[in-house]
Amino acid sequence: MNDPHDTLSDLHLARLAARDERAFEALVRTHAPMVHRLAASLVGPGAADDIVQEVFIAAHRALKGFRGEASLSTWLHRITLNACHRALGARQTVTLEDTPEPHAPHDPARAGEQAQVRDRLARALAQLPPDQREAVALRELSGLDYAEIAALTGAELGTVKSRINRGRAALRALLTRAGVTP
Amino acid sequence: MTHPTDRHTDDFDDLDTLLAQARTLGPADLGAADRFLTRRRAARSRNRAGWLTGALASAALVAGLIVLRPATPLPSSAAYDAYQSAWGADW
Repeated sequence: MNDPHDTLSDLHLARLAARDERAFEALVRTHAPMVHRLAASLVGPGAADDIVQEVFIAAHRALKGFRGEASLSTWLHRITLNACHRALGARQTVTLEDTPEPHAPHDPARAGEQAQVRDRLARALAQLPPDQREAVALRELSGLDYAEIAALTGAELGTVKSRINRGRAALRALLTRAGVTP
Repeated sequence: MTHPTDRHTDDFDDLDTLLAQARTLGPADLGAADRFLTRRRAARSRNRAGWLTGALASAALVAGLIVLRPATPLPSSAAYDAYQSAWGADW
């Protein structure tokens, strides 16, 4: 039998989720994949689950104050970026040339080519200024449009485009220098 | 073979290909919700078990104190003393 929560909108679920565990679980099931994807490409696949946990615990605590002025997805992106920013600030800089850490080889779901790509990408993105890193990640990994990125980061549309262009150029140079290819 | 003048274009394509690979939702992304919810349920069960253990321990402590508390003599009442002295000891 279908879960009735599956048919509710994000806003409706968000209103219920502070006190209804099933509604919260429905929100997690909808949004965890995109949170994990963004986190894996910003902090590396090995730390992405910790970011997912931090994001949804923080979201659950703050859901009572969510008024739906931004979409839930945009709100979760903001929390994810903040969590990734903190995680990156707490760790030592690892260059692209360093040997990547193993990605839980006992867990096939987290191993594989995509994990390697995301790991290299995370190392390169970590070397960009935070504003460029955020703009590139939101555009190229999460697929947000310029207006959504502008709303999420509080920057002007032109600034967002400029950050993405400069971030892409720097990223391309970093990856080319490190010999990273698809 | 890459022509030198095509290098910039190829790098650009490489970057887009790399980003597309990273952007594609994989099994690790699709399983993220289940992994989080499993950890969350386990943590909540531990918390509930801890709370229940604490509550039972507190209840046991209170019950023990009530049962084992030494009986205190009833305070003598001035009215009862007067009553007893009026009737005498052999009534």
